Amino acid sequence: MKFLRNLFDDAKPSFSKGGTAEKYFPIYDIFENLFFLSRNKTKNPIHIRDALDIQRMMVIVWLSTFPAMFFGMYNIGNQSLEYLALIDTPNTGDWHHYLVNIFGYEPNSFINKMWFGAVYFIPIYATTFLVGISWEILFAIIRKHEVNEGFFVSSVLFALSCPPDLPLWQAALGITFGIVIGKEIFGGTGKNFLNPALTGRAFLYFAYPSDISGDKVWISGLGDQMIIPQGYSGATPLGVAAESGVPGLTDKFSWFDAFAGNIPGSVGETSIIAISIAAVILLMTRIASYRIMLGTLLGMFVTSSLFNIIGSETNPMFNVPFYWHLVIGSFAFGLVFMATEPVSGSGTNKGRWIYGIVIGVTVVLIRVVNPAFPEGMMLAILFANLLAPVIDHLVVNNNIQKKLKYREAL
Amino acid sequence: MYNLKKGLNIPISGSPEGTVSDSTKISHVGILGPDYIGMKPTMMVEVGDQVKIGSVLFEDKKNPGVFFTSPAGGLIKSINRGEKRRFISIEIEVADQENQVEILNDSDEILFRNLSKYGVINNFRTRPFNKTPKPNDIPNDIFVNICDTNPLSVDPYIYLQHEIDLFNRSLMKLKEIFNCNIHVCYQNNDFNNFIDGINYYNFKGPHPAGLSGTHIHFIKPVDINSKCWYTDGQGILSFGDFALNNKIRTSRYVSIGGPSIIEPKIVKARVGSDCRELVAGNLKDNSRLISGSVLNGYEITDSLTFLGFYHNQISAISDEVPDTFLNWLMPGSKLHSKLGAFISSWVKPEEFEFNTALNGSNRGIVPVAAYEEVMPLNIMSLQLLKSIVVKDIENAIKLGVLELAPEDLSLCSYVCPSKYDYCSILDENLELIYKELQ
Repeated sequence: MKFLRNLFDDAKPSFSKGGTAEKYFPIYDIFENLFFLSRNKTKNPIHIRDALDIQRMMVIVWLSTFPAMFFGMYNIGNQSLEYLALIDTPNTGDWHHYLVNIFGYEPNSFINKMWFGAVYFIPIYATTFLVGISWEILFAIIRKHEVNEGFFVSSVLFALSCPPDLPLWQAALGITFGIVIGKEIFGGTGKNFLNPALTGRAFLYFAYPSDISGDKVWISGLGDQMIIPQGYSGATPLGVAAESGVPGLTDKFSWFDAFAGNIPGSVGETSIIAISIAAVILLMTRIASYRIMLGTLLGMFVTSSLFNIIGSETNPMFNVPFYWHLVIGSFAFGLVFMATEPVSGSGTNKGRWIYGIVIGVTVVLIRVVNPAFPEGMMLAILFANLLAPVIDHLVVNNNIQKKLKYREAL
Repeated sequence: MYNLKKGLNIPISGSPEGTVSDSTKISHVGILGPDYIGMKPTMMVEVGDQVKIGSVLFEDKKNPGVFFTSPAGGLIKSINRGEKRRFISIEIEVADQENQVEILNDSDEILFRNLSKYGVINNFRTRPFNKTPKPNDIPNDIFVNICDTNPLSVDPYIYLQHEIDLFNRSLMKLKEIFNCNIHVCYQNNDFNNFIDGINYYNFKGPHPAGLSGTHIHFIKPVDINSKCWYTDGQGILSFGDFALNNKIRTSRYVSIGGPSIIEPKIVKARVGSDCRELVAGNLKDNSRLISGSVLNGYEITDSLTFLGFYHNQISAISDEVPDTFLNWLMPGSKLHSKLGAFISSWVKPEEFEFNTALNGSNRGIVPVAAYEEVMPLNIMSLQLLKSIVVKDIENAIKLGVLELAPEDLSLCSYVCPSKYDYCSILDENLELIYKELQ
C-alpha cells in the first residue's frame, strides 16, 4: 500500500497543473481514485461530510449486478451447450469455437457452461467497457473534469442487456451512442435525461434489429449453425407468449424456470433470483428508490390484470397474468437496474411513484397491444425518461401553488 | 407543538455537557466582516487608537446609519483585509481597565435610535436575505430562537435559565418598542416561563428542527415583502442589557466541543473572543478549530481568529485525513453516512470521530433520496438545489429560496454524494436576488 502511495505521489507532479502530462490528469485520477480515496478536505462553511461519494455509490450498483452477470454467463453456456448437443455439433460456428474448445462442449459440466458463457460475455463487456471509457476520458480531458464513475454502471448494464451472440462491433457502436448521445453531449453523468445504457441498447435495437431481436439470437451458436431441430425454438418466453400465449409458454417453460432464469434471453435479464439479490442490495443501501420499483410493479399488476379481465380471442398476450409478466423478458432487469437510475428518472418523491406507474403501465401496453415489438421494458423506461421532467414539473408546480395558498390564508 | 420527523442528528463525538463556567481571561477580541452579509465598512478608527466598550468602529456603507461598536475597551491592534481589500477583521487588545461609553436610553424613541447607533440592532437579522436590519425598519414578526440542534450544540435553556428574568423583561421591552408579533421557539421540556402577549412554540425532532429558518417556515413563511427578523436567546439578552440597563453586553455563552477537544464544556466568554485563547490547552494537535458548528462555521485561521458574532459554539475536529485504501470496497464501520452504503448504518457505533475529509470529489448531482430525507421543510429540495446551482433565481424564488439561510441547506450539503457546497451557493444566489431588487 505504501509502495502504491509513493508511486502515485511520484507521478502526481507531472499530471498536475504545469506538469508535462497535465492534460491527461483524468487518466491519472481514475487510477488514483481506484486505490485511494481523494485527499480533498472540506472548506468553509461545512467542515464534515457524509462518507458516501459517487464512486462508492456507483460501485455498489456495479457490484450488485454480479449475481445477474455470473448467472447470465452460466445460462448462456447452459442454453447453448444443450442446443449444440441436441444438434450434435460441437462447434459454435465462429471464432468463439477456438476458445470454447479449450474446455470442450460437454453439456453437463458446470465449468464448461461457465467457460462457454464467459467466452461470449466477457468480450462483449470488455469491448463495451474499453470503448465507453475511452469516450469518457476523451470528454473529461476536453472538458477538464474528472471521469465520473457512473460509467461503470452504464457499461455493465449495457453489456448485460445485450443478447449473448451480439457482434462486438455492434457492442462498440451501441455503447458509443449511449455514452455520447445519451449522456456526454448533455454534460455527462448527472445531466443526462435518458438512461445511457438503454439509449445505446435502443439504438442497436432499431439500427440492427436482426442481430438483437427475433428467435435466433438468444442461443449462442444458433445463428451461425442455423440448424433448428424439430420442436426446438430459440425464442425467448416473451416471443413464445406473443405467438401462442400462456398455453404456449407453459408448454415450453415452467414458471419456476423463468423465475430461476433457466430460459433464453439477454445475458443479465433471465434470473429473477439474481436480480432480486441486487434489488435487496440497492434498497437496503437506499441507492435505488423503492417508490419507483413499487410504482412500476403496481402499474404492471393493474394493467395486466385489466387486460386479463377484458380478454381477447385474437391476441394471446391479453391473457398473460402478472406473475408471468414479472418473470419473462427484461421486466425485472429493467425494474431494478434501469428504471431506478436516479438522474434520468423523476426527481420528486411523488413524481417517483407516478414515474414508476407510467413504466409499469407502458410496458404492459407495449407487450400486449403493440404488434411490432414483443419487448416493452426498454421502450417503456425511455418513454418515462422523456416524461419525467413533465411529471416533476407538475409535482413542483402543485407544491408551489399549495404554498402560495397557504401563505395567502395566513 | 411541531414534531419534525425528517432531518439528521449527526452523531459526532465530544458533546459538551454540564454547567456553565467562566472562560479564562481573554486578551484579544475581534469583530469579523464575514459575519455580516453584504456589509462594507467605512472605518472610523485606525490601528493604535484607544477605544471604549461601545465606541463606534465603523459604519456600514451599504446600510448607512448602522454602526458597529467595540465589544471591549483597549487598543486597536490590527485591521485585517483580504483580497481586493475585503474587510476581514478588527482586532482589539483588551485593556486591564475597561470603560464603557456613556449610554442613556431615556425614552423609547431614543432607545430606538440608539439601537442602530450602538450596533445593538445587529443582534437581529432579516429574513429574507439574512442581513442586519436597516435603521428605522419596523418588523412585523420577530422570531426568537432558544433551540439549538446543531451538532455539538447545547440547549440554550441551560444557560438562559440563569438570566430568565432579564430574558423575559427584554421580550416585553422588545414588544413595546417594535409593537410586533414576537414568536419564541423552544425545545426544552422544562421551559415554562410564558408571558402574555408573546407566542410560544415547542419544536421537537432532529436537526434542523432548531434552526430559525425551520421555525419561520412552519409558523409564518416569508416572501419577498415580509418584514421578519430573527435572533436567538443571547441576542435578546444583549438587547435587554442595552435597553434596560444601558449596557453593552460583552459576554456570550459558548459551548466548546468536538472530537479534538480534550474537555468539552460550556463557558461564559467574551463577545468576539480569540478562539485560540478560549481553547488553549484544551485542543488536540493537528486539529481544525471552527467558530460555529461543524455544519455552518468558519475555520479559525491567522486572520480569522475570533468567535463569530452569531455563533454559540466552537467546534474542533481532526485535520488529519488518513489514506483510505480501496474506499469503494471497504465496509466502513467507522464512517458515518445517511444512506445505507456503509456497514456503519447497520452496526451502528454510538458516535463517530469525524475529520475534515471531503470523502470524495466534486461530481454532477445524482439525485439520491438523502436530500429529501434531511429536509423537513415543505420545499422541493432537489429542484431548489439544482436551480441555485445554475443560478436560476426566478425558479429558485418560486421554490422558496427566500425562506432560507445557508445553515438551512447545510445538511443537504453534508449528505451530498457529489460534494457540493450548497450553503455558499445559496449565499451567492441570495446576494444576486438582493442586487436585482435594488
